[in-house]
Amino acid sequence: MSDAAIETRDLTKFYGQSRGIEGIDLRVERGEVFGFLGPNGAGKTTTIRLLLDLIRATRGTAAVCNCDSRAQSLEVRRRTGYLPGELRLPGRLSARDCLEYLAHIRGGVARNQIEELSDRLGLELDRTVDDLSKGNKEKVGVVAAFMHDPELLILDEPTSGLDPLRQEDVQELIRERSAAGRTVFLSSHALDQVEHVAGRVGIIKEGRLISVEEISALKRRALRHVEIRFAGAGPSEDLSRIPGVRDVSVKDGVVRLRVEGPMDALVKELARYPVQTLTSEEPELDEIFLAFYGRSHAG
Amino acid sequence: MRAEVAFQALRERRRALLWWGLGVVALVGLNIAFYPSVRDSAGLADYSKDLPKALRALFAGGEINLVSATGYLNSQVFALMAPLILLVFSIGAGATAVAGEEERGTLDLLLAQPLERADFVLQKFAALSASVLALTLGLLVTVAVGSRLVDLEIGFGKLVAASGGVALLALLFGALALAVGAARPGRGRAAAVAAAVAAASWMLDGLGQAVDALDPWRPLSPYYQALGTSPLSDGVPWASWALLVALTALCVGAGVVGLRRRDVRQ
Repeated sequence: MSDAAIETRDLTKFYGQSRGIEGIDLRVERGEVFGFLGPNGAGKTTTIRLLLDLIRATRGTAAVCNCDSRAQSLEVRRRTGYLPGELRLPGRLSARDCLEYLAHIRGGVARNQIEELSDRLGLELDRTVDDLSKGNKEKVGVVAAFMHDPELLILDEPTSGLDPLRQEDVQELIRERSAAGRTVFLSSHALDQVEHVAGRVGIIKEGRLISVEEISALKRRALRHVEIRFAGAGPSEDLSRIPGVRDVSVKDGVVRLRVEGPMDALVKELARYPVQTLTSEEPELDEIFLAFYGRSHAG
Repeated sequence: MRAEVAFQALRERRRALLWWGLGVVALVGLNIAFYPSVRDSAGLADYSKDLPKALRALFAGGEINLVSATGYLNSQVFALMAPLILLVFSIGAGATAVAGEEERGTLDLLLAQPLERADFVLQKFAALSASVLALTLGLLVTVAVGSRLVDLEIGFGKLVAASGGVALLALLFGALALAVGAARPGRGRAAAVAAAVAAASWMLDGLGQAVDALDPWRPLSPYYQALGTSPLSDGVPWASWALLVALTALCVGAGVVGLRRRDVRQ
């Protein structure tokens, strides 16, 4: 076995006739923050649940922290912290009791970890879990995943349901653990949820891992939607001559275009005109695939 | 072995358990309270002769001698009412133990912790056993105290024998529900399977008394093993109890194997 945090070989799961994932060969190094990106239903959760032995592979193997995910599953689960995508917490308990219950199953966690993490996330520990909002339940799940300071964090859509401020708190936690040498495996359907923390991303689509890239390379090629409204007269010249700019359209004084890679050239060009508003949207995952593969497939 | 899951299961069920306990005390107590008036009314003593044998067998454990202490307690408490209450409770709790946790979606998080699936099932069964034991103690105390209050003369040992039979029967079918729910998702199915087998077992014993062709098959019925052997008059049927315990262990074992082999639903 290797020294990877996660290593899968030909990992495949069928649910009856329908495919969950097929032939996933994935390697996540120790200490890295790895983003696992794909649209909903692509197989992210299936992969994660296979790693934790919650479901069993049709074919292939997975090793987590050098332990076989099947034969040494207990050890795998001891060393990992898991935040489920569809989090359901044991009911009729206060958040504190719920977390202590999970901590006891683990054989205890370091003192004050629950309090400290809850403080940071703004979680009120004395409220009943059933009465918590979706976001607050998610915080309980985050604390449960982090409280024993695991070697490997497996977080399935960790920021869903959290407001942007709390999303940053979670990202800060991830950065801290990463700096302390822990590995983080982070799944999401949106690039902007992982781009600030992950070093590499794997992209999964329709059950297959189609690419593993450095996030910087991915973003360099990503197409951003840009919408510009001018206060006065817009540029007379064609903006599409600027490097990276394409698909320019003008309608009712609003210019819409797409930019691949850095926006610098475009912004410098626009600075010559009275810009009223400029909005730039995160590229959708599908568009990243297209930007990345459309060309290579075309030749 | 740690016991957090068992304690948590008891904690989640404590309020329900309290109400079920009150129900047992009230229903059983009420039945026993009627003993003096039944004993003193001559007509009731004979009415059983007019009932078909099969009905007598099913609903009163074969005999309806309402005047004798054993006859009264058997027909009014131990033949039907007490097993029914405890079985409904136990099957419900057994079906909820694993399948209910899965339907609520909490099984995913629990089994992602360092917790062996076998450990999980065993702890759930331990909690079930403790709950059934608590209800049985409620039953036993009510019958013992109630009998004394209305001059219903019966030895404590015989009451233990009958209550123990009820407990073991309830535990067996609770374990069956737990096992079905562990092996396959779905609380409804788990409860339905256990309830159907329990009902069949009860029918087999009752009809076996009335229908000669079925009589040799009666020992196959767990109900017969627990209560059909007249524990109220003959005391603890040790061999039958051993058999019931073995069957229960078999169910729990099957539940462990079933859960270990399968995918957990999200």
